[in-house]
Amino acid sequence: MTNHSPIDPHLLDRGFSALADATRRDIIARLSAGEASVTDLAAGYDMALPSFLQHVRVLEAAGLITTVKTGRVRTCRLETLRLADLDRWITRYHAAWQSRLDRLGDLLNQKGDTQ
Amino acid sequence: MTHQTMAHRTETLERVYAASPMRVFRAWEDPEIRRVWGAPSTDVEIRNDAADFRVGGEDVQICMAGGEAVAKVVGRYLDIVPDARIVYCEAISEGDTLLGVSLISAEFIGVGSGTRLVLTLQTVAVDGSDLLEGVKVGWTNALDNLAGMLVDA
Repeated sequence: MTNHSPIDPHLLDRGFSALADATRRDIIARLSAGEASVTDLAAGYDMALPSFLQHVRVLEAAGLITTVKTGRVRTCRLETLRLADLDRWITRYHAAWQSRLDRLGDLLNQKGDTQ
Repeated sequence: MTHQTMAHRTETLERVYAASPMRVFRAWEDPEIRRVWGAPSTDVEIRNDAADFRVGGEDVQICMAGGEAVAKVVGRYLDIVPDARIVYCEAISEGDTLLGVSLISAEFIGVGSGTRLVLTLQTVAVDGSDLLEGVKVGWTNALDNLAGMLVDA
């Protein structure tokens, strides 16, 4: 649940090698403004769709983006950084509930069972 | 404002209290009691701006730290079975930015003279537009750094 596990070196290799390409860096930059369909993304590049899909797969294998297929549309979104931040927010929020329930227990003990 | 990224988690917390389900339920029902145990941390105090414990009713809690409002929690009760169950959702915001929404299901189960509380949290954290702007800057910097590294190599 925590995000403090060491980074898998293989994933790091894949991440850096995925970013060592101008088209893939451009895709990442475009996805930082929000998710987009493969078709919409591909329209911005002068290459055949299969070649473009290859780039998408490399980014996905590196864990930098995820893609979800809904019907005939495949949507890509940036997966790093923000998701980790959002995840940390949930962790803090759920941890706050842990301490709340402990305080509730203290309160119930203080008052004694008067029912 | 558009929310472009979401993260989800479901978690179940359990406690056993040496108090009847009626008393545990009352600690949730009474906004003054709940204000005492319900603060998210010890340095935060809750101010109840609205409290309406009935199905469809809305609670508005302001989290105060050092006299400043740091977060707003708007809750809505969806299901209430006295001494047995409470289902409600709460939306947590910082200023105008929604941070997340949680569906909270609390079950009060009598065990001997005590109560087992089973609390299920189903939470989504969402991206605010200002946060997303930070991502763009972060990525631009990271890619600039990377480009610099690749040139040096």
